[in-house]
Amino acid sequence: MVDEQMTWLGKLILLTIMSLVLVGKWSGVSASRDGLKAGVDDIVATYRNRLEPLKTDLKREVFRLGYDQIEEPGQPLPKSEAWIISQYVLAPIVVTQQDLDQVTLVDCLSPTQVEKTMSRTDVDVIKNYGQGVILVAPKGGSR
Amino acid sequence: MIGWISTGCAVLMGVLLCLALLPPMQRGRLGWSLALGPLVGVSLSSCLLFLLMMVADGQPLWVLLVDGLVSVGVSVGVGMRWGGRISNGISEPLSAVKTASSISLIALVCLIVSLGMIGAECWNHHRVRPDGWWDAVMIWNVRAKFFVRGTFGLAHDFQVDPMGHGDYPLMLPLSVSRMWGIEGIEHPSDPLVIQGILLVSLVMLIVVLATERAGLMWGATVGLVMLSWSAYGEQLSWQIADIPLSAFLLGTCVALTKAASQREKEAFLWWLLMSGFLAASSAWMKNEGLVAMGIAALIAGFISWRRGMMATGVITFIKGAGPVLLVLGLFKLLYAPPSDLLATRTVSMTELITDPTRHEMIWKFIEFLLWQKACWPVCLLVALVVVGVMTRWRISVAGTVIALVFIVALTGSYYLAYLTTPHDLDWHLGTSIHRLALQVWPLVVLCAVGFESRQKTTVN
Repeated sequence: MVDEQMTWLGKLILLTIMSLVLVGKWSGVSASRDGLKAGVDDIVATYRNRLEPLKTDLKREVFRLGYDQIEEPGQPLPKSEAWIISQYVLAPIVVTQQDLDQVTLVDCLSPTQVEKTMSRTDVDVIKNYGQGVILVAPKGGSR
Repeated sequence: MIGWISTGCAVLMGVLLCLALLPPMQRGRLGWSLALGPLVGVSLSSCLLFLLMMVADGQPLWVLLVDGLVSVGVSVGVGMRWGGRISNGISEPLSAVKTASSISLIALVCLIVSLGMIGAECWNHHRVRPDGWWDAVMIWNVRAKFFVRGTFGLAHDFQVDPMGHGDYPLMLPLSVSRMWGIEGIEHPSDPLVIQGILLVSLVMLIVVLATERAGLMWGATVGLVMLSWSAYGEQLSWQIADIPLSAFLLGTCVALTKAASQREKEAFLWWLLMSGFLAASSAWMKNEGLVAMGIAALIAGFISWRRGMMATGVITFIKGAGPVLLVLGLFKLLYAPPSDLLATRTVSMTELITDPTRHEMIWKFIEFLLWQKACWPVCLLVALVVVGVMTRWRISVAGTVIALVFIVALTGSYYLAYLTTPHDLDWHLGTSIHRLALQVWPLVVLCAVGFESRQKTTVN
C-alpha cells in the first residue's frame, strides 16, 4: 500500500496537515464559543435601556416562529432579562395579526435590509427600535 | 427523538438498498453504502413524501405514517431478499481496519475528532441563532411548516411571497417536515440532523474513494483537508441547502468517475444509474443542481460513447434520474412560480453582461473569498498533492477531468447568474458567494488529488 511506500518526509507532511486541520477546527469551536458569550453580553448592554418599551410595545404581538411564546400584557417576563433580550434580538421576530396567514417576519440581524426580508405579505413598519428590532404589521391591516 | 428515528429509517433504507444492489465485484461495499445510502434514502423518501402529499392535500399525519411504513417495509424487504450480500459487505471493512497501519489510524481518529469539533462549533452557532440563517427561516423551514400545518397543495404558499423563493425544490423542507410532523413539535434543532447526516455522507464519499485507491491513511487525510474549509461548522448551523447540495454534487461526480473506471459492464451500468439518480437529486435539492444535471448527462453520454454502448448507457442514466426528475417536474409545473432571477428583470441581459463595473465587482468578491476563506485550505491541498507526487502517483484523465468540467460549468453558471441578477449585485454577492464556494470546494479536492491515479508500482 501507499503507506508503506511513503518516505518519512511524506509522513511528516501528512501528520503536519492533520495537526493543522485539528488546530483550525479547534479555533473554530473556540471562536464560536467566545462569539456566543460576547454576542449576548453586547446585546444585553445595548438593550438594557430599551427593555421597557420592548416589553410594552411587543407584548402579545411578538412570538418566535415555531415556539408560540406569547407574552401576556402585564405579566412578569418568564426568564432572565438577558435571556429575553437575547431571544428577541438574536432570533427572528415574528409579528402577527390574528392568524398565521398574516405572519410577517423580520430578520433582526439585517435591519438595513427590511425591504428585502419582508415575508409573505407587504408590511408597514410600526416602530423601529434600532439594532434590528422592528415591529411590523401587514400593510393595510386592521391594526 | 421519534423524528430522528423516522429520518434514521429513511437513511437505513438507502444504506440497505445500496448494500444489496451494489455489484458483488465492487470492493468496500459497506463504505460505499454508508456514503451513498443517506443520499439515496433522503432523496427517495422526500420524493415519496411529495407524491403522498399531493394525493392527500392537507392530511400530513397519515402521509407520514405511510411514508414511515414504506421506509421500514423496504428495509425489511431488502434485508430478507439480499441478506447474504449485505452480511458479506459488512464483514469486509472490519478486516481492513484491523490491518491498518498506525498512521492510518491516527488519520482516521483526526478525521472523527474534526467532525466532532465541527459539530460542537455548529452547536454554539445554533445556540445563538436557533432558527438558522434567514434562508432557513424564510425559505427552507417555513415551507416545512406549511407541510406540517397541512397547507401543502395551495399554490398560494409558493406564489404569494416574492422573496420566499417559491421555485426552490423541496427535498430539504420535506425531510424536515417529516421530523416535525411525527414529533408534533417544530423543534429548531431537527433540521441540523439532516444537515449532519449529509455532511457525514459528503466526507465519507471522498474518504471511501481515496481509501479504495490508496489506503486508509490517504483517504482520511483527504477527508481532513476537505474539512479544513473553515465555514463547515457555521454553515451547518444555518440550516440551508448548500452543504446538502455539495454532497449530491460530489456524489454525482464520484459516481461518474467510478463508472468511467469500471471494466465490467454490470458495474459500469450500476454507477451510471447512481450518477443519474444523484444528479437529478441535486436538482431536487436546489436549483443550482439543474446545471449539474445537464453536465452529468453530457458526461454520462460521453463515457457511454467511449465504451461503445451509447444507447444502453444513456438509457441507464435516464432510468436513474427519471423518478426524481418526474417529482421535480410535477413540482415545477404544478406549484412553483417562475424563478425570481427570471421573473423580475427590468434591465436587458446584454446591458447587464456588458457592464464592466459588474465584472469588476464580482472579481473583487472572488478575490476577497480566495484570500479570506480559500487560502488556507488550498495551501493544505497543495501540500497533500506534493505528498502524492512524492509517493509517485500519476494522474489519469477520468477523475480529475470530470471534476474539472463540473467546477468550470458550475462556477461559470454562478458567474452568469451574478452578472444577470435582477437584485442588487452587492447584496447578492455578499449573501451567496461564500455558500457557492462551499458547494464547489469538495469538487476542487476531488480534482486536485486525482483519484483515478494509479501507483507506478503497487505493493499489496
